[in-house]
Amino acid sequence: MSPLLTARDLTKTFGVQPALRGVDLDLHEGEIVAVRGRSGCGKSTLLHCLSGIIRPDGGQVHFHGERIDDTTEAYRSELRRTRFGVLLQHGHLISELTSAENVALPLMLGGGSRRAALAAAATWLGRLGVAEAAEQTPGQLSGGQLQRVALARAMVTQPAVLFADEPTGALDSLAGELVMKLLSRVAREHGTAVVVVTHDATIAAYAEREIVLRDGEVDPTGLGVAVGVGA
Amino acid sequence: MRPWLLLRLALAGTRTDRLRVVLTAVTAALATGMLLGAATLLPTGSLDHRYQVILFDYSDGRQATAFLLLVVCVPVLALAAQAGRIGAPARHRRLAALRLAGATPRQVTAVAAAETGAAAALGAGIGLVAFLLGQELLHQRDPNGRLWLPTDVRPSPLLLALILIGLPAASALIAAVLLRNLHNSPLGEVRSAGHAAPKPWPLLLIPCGPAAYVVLRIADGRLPWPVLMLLLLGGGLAAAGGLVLGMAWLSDRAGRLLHRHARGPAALLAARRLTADPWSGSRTIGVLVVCALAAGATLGLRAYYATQMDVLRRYGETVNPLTGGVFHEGSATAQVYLSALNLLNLAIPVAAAIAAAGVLITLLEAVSARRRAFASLTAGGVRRRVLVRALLWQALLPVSVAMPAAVLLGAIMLRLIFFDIEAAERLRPPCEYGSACAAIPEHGPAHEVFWLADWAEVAAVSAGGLALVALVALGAAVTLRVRTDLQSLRTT
Repeated sequence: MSPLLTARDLTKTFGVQPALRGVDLDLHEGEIVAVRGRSGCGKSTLLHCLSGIIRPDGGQVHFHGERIDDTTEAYRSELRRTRFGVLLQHGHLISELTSAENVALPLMLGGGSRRAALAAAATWLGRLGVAEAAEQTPGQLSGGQLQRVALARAMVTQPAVLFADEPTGALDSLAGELVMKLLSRVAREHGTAVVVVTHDATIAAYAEREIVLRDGEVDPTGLGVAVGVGA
Repeated sequence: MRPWLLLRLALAGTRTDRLRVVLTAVTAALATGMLLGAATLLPTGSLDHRYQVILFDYSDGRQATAFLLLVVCVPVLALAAQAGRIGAPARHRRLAALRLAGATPRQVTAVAAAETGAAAALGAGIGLVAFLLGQELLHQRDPNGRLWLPTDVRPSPLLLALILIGLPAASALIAAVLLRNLHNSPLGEVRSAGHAAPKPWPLLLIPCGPAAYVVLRIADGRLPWPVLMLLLLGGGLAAAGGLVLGMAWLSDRAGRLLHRHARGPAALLAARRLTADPWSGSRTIGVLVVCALAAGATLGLRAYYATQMDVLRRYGETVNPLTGGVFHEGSATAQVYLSALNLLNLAIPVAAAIAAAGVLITLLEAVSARRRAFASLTAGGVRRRVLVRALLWQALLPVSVAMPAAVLLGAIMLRLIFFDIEAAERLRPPCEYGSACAAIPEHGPAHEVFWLADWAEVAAVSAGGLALVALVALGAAVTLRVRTDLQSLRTT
């Protein structure tokens, strides 16, 4: 079976500091892959390149066989709205909108009706156990609730790939575990592939496969995290 | 994106965002009022003895006033631009979150433009209502049956529509254009296209202004009309543009100079701030300096009028070059001069006050953006009065040279075009002013040498401008107590 998402020879440099140095990655449908490594090894940069948030300097990213790294910003935005879901450490919800509106936003941005989008949002908030937070704004939520709302927003379009960057990094262990259980459960239910960036071995344990980065390169030995932060 | 979603996202915001919307609406209302006022004054033709302010009886007087209103719109636009920057970091974070949710760059731009456009439309509506109410309230007649102002004239429907539709549309367009150079990353990192170090080249525009007027003077009326207007307007715009665009370089140089000689922590802080971000508020301060330029020109014009009135007074009854009427104390001619002067005397402080409001917003934003740094300094034992002095240094230093120079430049430029009194020479028969010309003595005042401007007035206007900036800086400093609260260290 051909991979859903492939990255070949990805490179990215910030100033004079190389963040990625020829990274290859294959992601198959429904697969959960953890990307681990020390702080500054290029984990988040890899996730941002794969999800189209930033463009790599070199190499290629293909989704369903179609090259996406050289497409326009608008196209990659649409891809994130329809086929990809993105979940970051601090949720990045819009603080002035309610939880329900935040979750409904990707559907509404795509031209969906308000009623249908809010109905879908209510369904997802219920599935993730935060239905009571629907009318609350992000400032009124706990960290765990906020990440579950953010997860609902990432999943509301039923994406093919969910990109999660340290999704539990700002949570205590119990809340983090709950978020990861929900994340892996809904991903499996919908056949969504997941790329989760983490430095936490307990979070990585939810993945079926693990990639270790070291100084911007895939570490074939997997020892890159042995002495890393939080390894 | 559907319109209701666009509006919901555009109007979603914090208290700071609401303040931005309110200020945008207020500036739009001001601009609408001024544009409607200018549109009211545009009809040509003489309206004998209709208005108490006699200047409005004459087509030239009305058009000059309309032009003046348009000029006063410039600081209003600068204020609007500055108001658009209020809460910019928070807005960029919100727009970045929108990008993360899948909004395209175009959709994000549409949200920002919709916010500005909606606020400007609201302001334009308020401006129209205020203008019509004002016209009703001022529609009073004096004992001679004359109206005080042209309150009996309404702007043409075409101009009215153009203003009410064009202003919000232009505001939205400008907001979209201003966002063009911002790359709103979905990660919330807003990277501007990058500010290069300021260059001194824009300052070269300043001497182009007087140079154009020297050409006008040398040509002495022999130039074709389009060339004459090009030199006249181009010269003024070059000098004003040079001042606005050159302020960043001046701020940078002033900061470097202060850093070299700074002894106290306040001066050092201000010097580093000026060199670190010389662009901060340079445009709004530049507009205030342009007001000083206009004030200088007014002083020059006052001196010209004063001299001309003096000449006419000394030679008894003679022709008024503006109206063709006979001049004597209390005559219509004298009232025209006085009206013109009063109008200018009113317009310059109004423009300066509007520009100062823009500077205030700049400084408030600067304090807000650096609240954590200020709170850290306070936590480290730095007294607030040091921060207040730093703010004063930062605000006053760049304008301390620019302000008097601009006043003087304005006076010089004005006197290059209004340079002598040749009323009698120019109006000897046959002339366009009719039979009154016959009354001019053959050997009238062909040429009068007179002063450039009243130096005491030049000094007073410069000092007034600097005092205004100091007042504005102190106004911004009032917020330091709140902003340097140690709680700022705990919040983002």
